[in-house]
Amino acid sequence: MNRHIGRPLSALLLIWLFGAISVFLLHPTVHIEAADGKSTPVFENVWARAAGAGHMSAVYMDIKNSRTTGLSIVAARSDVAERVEVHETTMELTVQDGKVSQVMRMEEIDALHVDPGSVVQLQPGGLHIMLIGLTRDIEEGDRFTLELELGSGERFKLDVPVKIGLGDDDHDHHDH
Amino acid sequence: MCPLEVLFLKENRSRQGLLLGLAFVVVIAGAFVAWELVLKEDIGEQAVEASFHGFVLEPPQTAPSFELVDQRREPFRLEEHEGDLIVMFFGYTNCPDICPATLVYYTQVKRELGPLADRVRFVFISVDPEYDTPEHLDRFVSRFDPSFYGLSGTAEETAYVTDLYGVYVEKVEDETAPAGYWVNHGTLSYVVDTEGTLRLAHPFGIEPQDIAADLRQLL
Repeated sequence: MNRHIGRPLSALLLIWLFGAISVFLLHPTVHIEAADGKSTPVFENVWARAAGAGHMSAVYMDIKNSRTTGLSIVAARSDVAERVEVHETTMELTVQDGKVSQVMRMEEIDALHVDPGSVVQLQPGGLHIMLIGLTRDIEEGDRFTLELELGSGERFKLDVPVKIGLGDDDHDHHDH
Repeated sequence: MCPLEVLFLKENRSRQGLLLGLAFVVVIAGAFVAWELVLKEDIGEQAVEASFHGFVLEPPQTAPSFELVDQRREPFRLEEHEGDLIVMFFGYTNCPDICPATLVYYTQVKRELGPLADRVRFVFISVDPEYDTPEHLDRFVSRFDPSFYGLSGTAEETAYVTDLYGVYVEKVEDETAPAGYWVNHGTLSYVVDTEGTLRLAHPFGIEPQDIAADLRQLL
């Protein structure tokens, strides 16, 4: 009897392991250890792209939620832009019959959800907090305040550095 | 102890080792298959020629000719730039994410190329003829590099060029957008070689170093 218990279980284990690895490989959300219901969400790698007054910019970051409950960002505001919205860019690459195309589509998101114990990354070509109609130039080295409002009513003020947008590890290019 | 471990302990030891070994092999194989089937295809590996990072356009054909105006209101005719390498991207100045990100990439491509960049023309072609005047393009493009071209034309001229290159353009009304609409659009960068032949298409997301490596091969 015992010998037969292991088989379906091993099969299940294999399916589970394969599933877990596939999810790990394919899903952009990274799971972190859930802590408690009170801990503060962590906003890391925050930056906005330099742009001129009247133009558009975007804020990118990693949002880490160590709570046991999900959180959602329902509103954002800043005095550097007329409007601040959460948007998602989706990219679709198709290669068919020897033809290649890649199309970018963008849509507004009512609320940005971060599951319990997860990190959601906002990055170029994906989720971003859009600054519509900059009220002034924001140049590399500037900083401004961005306020995020959660569904729970909590508000977080972030100090956002402005960058050209080559990423953190590309700061050796300031040769001008 | 978790129930899984209990059950395994009841099994014959060598059998358990065999099963675990098998599990390991299957998982590795599964991961490999996932990579082959999904991830590689995602980055377009299948259509990429070994020596280039971008898509190689086959058969090579003469880049369709067009005329638009640049940000200084000077005419820009593609064939007049034969002898230079041309990198073309289609976008619009109210684009918040992909277009500025691409132009920032181009600045890095230019830096990677060093003196060779003198023979490369980086060209941003507006897909938003309603809003993008040469003045708007000047303000937008010159933020990244004053040597980059910002081209625009009438609605007809713009549609003619996007049709020539098969660039997808879709206007989406949205009252919160700065001009009352967003434009969903194709995001491939096209490379025209020094003989005026359309050679490569780079999807958004290819590293600037890799684009520069491709351009270097064509110079």
